[in-house]
Amino acid sequence: MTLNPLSAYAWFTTRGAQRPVAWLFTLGVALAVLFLRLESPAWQALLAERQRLYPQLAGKRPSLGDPVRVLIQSLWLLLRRQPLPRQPGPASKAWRAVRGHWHTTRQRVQHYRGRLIDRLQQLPARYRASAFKQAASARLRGLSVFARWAFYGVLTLCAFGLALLCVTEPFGYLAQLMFICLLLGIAMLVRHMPGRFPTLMLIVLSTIISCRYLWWRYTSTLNWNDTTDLVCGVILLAAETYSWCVLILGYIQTCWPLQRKPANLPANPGHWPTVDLMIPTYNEDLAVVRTTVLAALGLDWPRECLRIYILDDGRRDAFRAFADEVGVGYIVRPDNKHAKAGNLNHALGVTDSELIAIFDCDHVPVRSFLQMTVGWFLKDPKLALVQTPHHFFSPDPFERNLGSFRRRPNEGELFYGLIQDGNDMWNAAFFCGSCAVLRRTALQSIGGFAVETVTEDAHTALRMHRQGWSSAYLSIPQAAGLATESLSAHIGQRIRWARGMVQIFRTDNPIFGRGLSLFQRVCYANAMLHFLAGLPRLVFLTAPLAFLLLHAYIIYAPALMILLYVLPHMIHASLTNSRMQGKYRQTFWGEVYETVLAWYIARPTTVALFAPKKGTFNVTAKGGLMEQGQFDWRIAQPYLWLAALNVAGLGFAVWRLFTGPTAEVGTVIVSSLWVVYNLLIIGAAVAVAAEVRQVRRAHRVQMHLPAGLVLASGHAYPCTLVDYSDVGVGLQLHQGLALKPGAQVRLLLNRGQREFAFQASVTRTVGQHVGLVFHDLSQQQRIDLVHCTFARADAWLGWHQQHEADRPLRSLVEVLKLGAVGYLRLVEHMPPWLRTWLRPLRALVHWLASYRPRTPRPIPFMNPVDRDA
Amino acid sequence: MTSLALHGVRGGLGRSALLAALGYALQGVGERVLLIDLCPDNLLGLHFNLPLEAREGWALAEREGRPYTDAVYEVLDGLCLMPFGNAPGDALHPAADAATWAARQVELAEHFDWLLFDVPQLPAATAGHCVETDVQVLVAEAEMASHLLLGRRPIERYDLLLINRYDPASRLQSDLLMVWRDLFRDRLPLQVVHRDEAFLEALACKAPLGHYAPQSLACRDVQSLAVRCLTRRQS
Repeated sequence: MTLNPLSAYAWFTTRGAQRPVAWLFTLGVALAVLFLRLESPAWQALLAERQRLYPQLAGKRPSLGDPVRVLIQSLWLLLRRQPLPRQPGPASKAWRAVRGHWHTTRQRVQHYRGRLIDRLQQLPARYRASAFKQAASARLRGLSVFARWAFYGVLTLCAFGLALLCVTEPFGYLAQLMFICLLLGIAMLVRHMPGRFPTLMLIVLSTIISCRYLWWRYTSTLNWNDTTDLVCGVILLAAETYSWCVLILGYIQTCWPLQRKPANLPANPGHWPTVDLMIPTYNEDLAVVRTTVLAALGLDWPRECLRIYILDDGRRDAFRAFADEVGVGYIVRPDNKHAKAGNLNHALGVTDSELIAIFDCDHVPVRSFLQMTVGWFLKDPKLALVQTPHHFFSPDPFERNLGSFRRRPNEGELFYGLIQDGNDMWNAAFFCGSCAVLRRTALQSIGGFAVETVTEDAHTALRMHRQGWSSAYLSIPQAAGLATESLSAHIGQRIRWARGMVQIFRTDNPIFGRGLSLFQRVCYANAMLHFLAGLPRLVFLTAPLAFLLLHAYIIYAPALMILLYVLPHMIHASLTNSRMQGKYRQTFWGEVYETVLAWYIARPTTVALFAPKKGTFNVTAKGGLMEQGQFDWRIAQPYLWLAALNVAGLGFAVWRLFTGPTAEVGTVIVSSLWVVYNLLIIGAAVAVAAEVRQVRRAHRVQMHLPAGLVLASGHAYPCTLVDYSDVGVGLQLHQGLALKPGAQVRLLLNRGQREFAFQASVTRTVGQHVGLVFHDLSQQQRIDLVHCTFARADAWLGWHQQHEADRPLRSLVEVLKLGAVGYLRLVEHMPPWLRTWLRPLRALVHWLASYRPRTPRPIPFMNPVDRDA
Repeated sequence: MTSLALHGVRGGLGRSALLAALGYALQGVGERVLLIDLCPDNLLGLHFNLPLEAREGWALAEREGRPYTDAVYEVLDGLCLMPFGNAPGDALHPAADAATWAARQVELAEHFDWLLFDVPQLPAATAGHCVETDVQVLVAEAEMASHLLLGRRPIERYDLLLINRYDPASRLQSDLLMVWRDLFRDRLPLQVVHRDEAFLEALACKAPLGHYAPQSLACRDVQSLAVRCLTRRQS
C-alpha cells in the first residue's frame, strides 16, 4: 500500500470522517510521508497487516481519538509476544532467559510437590504396614488395663494442656506469624493424606486456631472506653461466637459419617413385614401425584404386604376416582387440623400395618425403596425410622439461575450427603417428612406425629429419640422429586423450616430434657442453631461499615494483627470443610446460600425465638413454570440496599484514606477489602434473584439409556433415550433415519431383563433428536413406563460423579466472579427509566473501552518463507 | 475353528436368514467365516446375491465326483459360502452323514475361524444327525407351538436359546419370554432378536441383514449374538 497525501483526504471523508478531522489526518499523513521511510519493507509489512494488527480501527469511522488508539495498540503490540517470528534483541533475550528460568523452576517445584503429595498419599498405608506401628500396638496390648488407661489419660492431659497453651498464650507479631505458619504447614501436608485420621488432625488444627482467635477477640480486642465501639464490637463478637459454635458443633456432627449399608431381608418374602405407604397431598396437581402412585404400585414388595393410601386433605373427586381406578386406598378426614401431621395422624388411626412409608406426593420412589430400607427394621427391634435422601431431578432456583445443575453439588446435598450420615453415627439421624419408613409402635409410643410446630418431621424424630428409639439413615437416593420452581417459593420453604426448628428449640429444647445422649443433643442443637444464621450473617455483611461509616473500632487491634488472627482462622476452616464436605458442597458456596436466605430467615427465626407459638404452615408450591425470564426485585430488594450501603462504605473508605490519620490507613484498607468481599457475596445473592425462564411444564430428566423404536412400517431401530418426563421422552436417533412429526411409533424400553413397548407419536424432530409423546397407554403400561424411567433402581445413582472436584481457591474465585455477574444481571434487568438515566454512563464506559488494546488474531497457517516471497 | 449350527424347534423360523446375518456380523468383527448350506432347498446362497439359476454346490460336486471344496464362493474378504447345489430333475439327494462332516471340519479348520451350518429341519428324534457342531443354538419364536415343542426337546444339548421375531408389544410373547427365563434359568441362556421388517426385506434384496440394513434393531441384535458367539470361540 502506498500512502498519498493527495488521495488521503478523499479516503478519510468516504469513511465518514468529519471535515476538520479529515484535514488533520491528511496533514498527519503528509508529515509521515515527509519524515518516515514508508517505502521501506518494514513499514510496508506493517501497513499491509494493519487490518489484523489494529482490529479496533478496521471499518471504523475515523475520529479524533484514533491516533491515541493507534499509540496504545502499538505499545501493546510491542509488549505482547508476537506470533510472528522476530529477531530477538538483547533485552528480549534476557527477558526470555528469565522467563525460561522461572518456567523451569516452577516445573521443578511442581515436580517435587507432586512427589511429596504422592509420598504423603502413601504414608498412612506405609505406616500401617511398618514395624514401628506393629511394635507399638503390640506393646500397648501388652499393658494391663489400668496401665493403658493411665497412659491414655496422661496423653490426653498433655494434649489438652498443650492445646490450652496454644489457645491462650498471647503472641507478638513474629511469634504469631511463626505459629500460624507452622500450623498451616502441617495442615497443607496433612490434607493430602487419605483416611479419617488426617481429617481429624485437620479438625484439631482448625479448632485450635479458631479457639485461639475467639480467645484473642474476647481478651484483647474490645474497646471498653467508648460506647459505640463497645456496642458494635460486642454485636460482631456475638455473631462470631455463634459462627464458632456452629463450626465446632459441625465438626463433632460430621467428623465420622457412618455410611450405613442396606441390611439384608429374610430369603422368604413371607416373613417380610406389612407396609402402609402413605402419600399425603393437599393442593397438588393430579399429574404430580399420579407418577408417585404409579411408581409405588410397582415397588418390589409382596403385593399382599403393601397397601398404598392417598391422604387427600383437598378432598377432590378426581383423586378419589383415580384411587379407585388404580386400586389404592383413599383417605380423607373431616377437618384439616394440623396440616400434614394431622393428616398422617388421622391415617394412622385407620390403618394397621407394622411399618409406615411416607412420600410427599411429588417424590417418586424407585422400585427397590422398600427392599433397601426395611432390612434394618428386622435387624434392630428398637429402630423407629429409616430416612433416605431427598433427591431432586429438576434444578432448584440456585442451580437454575446460576446454571450449575448437575455440575456442582446443590444446596441440599450437604445435609443429605454428609450431615445426616454424620448424625447417623451418633444415632441422631432425623425424619425429613418424606422418603422414609417409620415403625408404627414407635409412633404410637409418642402419640403420633408431633403437631405443635410447623416442622413436624424433626420434632417427631426428636420425641422418638427421647423415648429411646433409634434411627437410621441410608445415603442412597431411593426417591426423587421436583425442586421448588421459584426463588420466592424456595425461600418460603426455608422460612418454614427455620421457624419450625427454632420453635422446637424453644418448646422442646434438645439440650435439656431427658432421654438423649450427649451427642444426640449436639446434633439436634446444631441442626436448630444452623437456622439462626440469618442475623449473624447480616452482621458480617455490615460489620466493616461500622468503622467506615461510624468510625467505630469494632475490632480494637492493629490491622496487621487482625489479619494474622482472622486469616488463619478462615483458611483452616475452609481447608477442613473442603476436606470434609468438598464432595457435597464446594467451599464458599455455603456463603452464597446463606446470604440469600439471611435476610428472610432473620425475622421469623427471631420472632419464633421469642414467641414460639406464632407462625402458620405454608405449603411449598411445586411443579410450575416460569413464563419468562425475570428479575425478582422483591426478593433482591434487601440485598440491593445492603449493596448500596457497602458501596457508600467504599466511598467513605476513599475519603478516610485521603483525609484520615496515617495510622488508620491499614485499618481502612482491611475494612475496604472486607467490604469488597461482602459486595461480591451480595452480588452472588443478587445473581440468584435473576430468574431464568423455564419452558416445559413437565421437567425432563437427562438420561442415557439404550432403547428401541418400531415404526408403523414394521422397521425397528435402536436409539438412545436422552431425556424423559411423565408425558414424553427425547430420543437420539442414528444418522440416516428421519421421522416426520405426527408419525406413529412404538418405543421399546428395558427394565432389567424385561422389555416394554409403548405407543407414542412424534411431536418434533431437530436433527437426530426426536421428541415423543405417549398416548393410549393402559393403566399397566403407565406403571411400566414409570418403572422404565423414574422408578428405575439405578435412576438417581452416580449423580455425584459428574461434579467437579472441590478446590477451595478456585471455588473462591468462582464465587467472586459470580458476584460480578450478579451486578451485570442487575444492569440487564434494569427498569427502562433507570436505563435511560444511565445511558450516558454506559456511553462513557463504551468510549473508554474503545481505547483498550486488542490482541491481534494469529496469522492463519502460513510458512513465513512463503509470506515474504 | 468353531462350528455352529442353528436348530429350529420347528421349521419356518427364519434360520437361514439368521445364519446369513450372523455370518456377515462375524466377518464384520474380523473373523474368517465359512457358511455351509446343508439344506437341499439350496436357499442360503440367495442371501448372498447368488444367481437364482446357480446350481454349483458341494452336493453336486460330490455327485459328479469332484472334491466338495470346488463349490466355495468367496463373497467378501473372509466370508465364504458353500451352497448345497442341486442337480436338474433330481429329487433324492444323498444325506450327508455326521462322520463325513466331522472329517471335513478338521480339513477346513486351518482356513476358517467359523463354520456355520444351515441344517435342514428334521424331526426332533433325528435332529443333529447330519452334523455335530461345537456350538448348538436352538431357535424358537415366542408362541405356543414353540412352547409346546420346546417341552419335548432335550434342551441340555443346546448352548443357547435364540428367540427370533420377538415383539414386546405382544402380551403373549412377553409373558412367554418371562416363563422361559424362569424355566431355563440356570440351564440355557436366552438371546432375543426383535421382529423387524428389515429382515424380510433383506432376502428380497438378496443381501444379508447386516449389509441391507446395518442400522436396524434386528441387526444390532444379531451383532450382540455374534459377540456372544465370540465368547464360545475355540482358538
